[in-house]
Amino acid sequence: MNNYELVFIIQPGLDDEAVKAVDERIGQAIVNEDGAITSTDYWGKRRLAYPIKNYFEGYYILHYVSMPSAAVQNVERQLRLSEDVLRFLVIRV
Amino acid sequence: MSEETQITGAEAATEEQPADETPREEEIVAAVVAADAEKQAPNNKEEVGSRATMGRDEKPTASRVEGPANFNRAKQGNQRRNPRHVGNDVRIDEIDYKNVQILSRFVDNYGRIHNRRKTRVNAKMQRKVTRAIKRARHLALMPYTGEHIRITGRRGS
Repeated sequence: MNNYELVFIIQPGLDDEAVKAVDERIGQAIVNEDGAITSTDYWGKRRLAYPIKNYFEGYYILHYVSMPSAAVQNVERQLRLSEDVLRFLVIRV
Repeated sequence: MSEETQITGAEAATEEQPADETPREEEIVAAVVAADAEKQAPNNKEEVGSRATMGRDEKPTASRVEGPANFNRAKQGNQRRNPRHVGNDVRIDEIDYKNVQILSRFVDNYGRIHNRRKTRVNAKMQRKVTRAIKRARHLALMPYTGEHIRITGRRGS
């Protein structure tokens, strides 16, 4: 088990419910891989420094995650599949 | 002015009892000065005693006078440095891709990362800064190019 920081940006068109749903789906992917979210930071809607897919804003969510290294690949795949996720970053800390 | 010097002399004399390492010449001079001080102002004795207890943990008098002076000189030198060298007061654990406010100091008006000549930080720090800025760019916390700044109309965050 390693500790990771997982940040992703969700497109701004969604309402709070939909954002929560996307977040939940990612959380589920982590749990399925025997990982656990230790803590979470919701940065809320933030202006992007440059447009991504013609969006100028996005919801930022930061999870501190503890999961085995083999899980990273699958979590990243899940993030890539989701069209509402504009960007993501997984780093080991 | 003269009263102040007498007090410091008396302080040195009273300190000799806990700390034996004080040089002998100073001992004699201090003792004489202390005696004079006691003659002229016996009611000051209480204050002198309290000061001595304060300074008990510190080193002997000579080094205590020199130390702070050197420190001040170094500090002044630091303040006189070129303000373009932005990295002087940044601690290494502050550098993080989330800390855009600090990272934006290492970047010019077009969002380009300053070289080490400009930032004046050591190589380890520069590597961390560079990496953090690139991560921040990926997450659209910082711009990649001047074009990005022009489009969004504001820098950094």
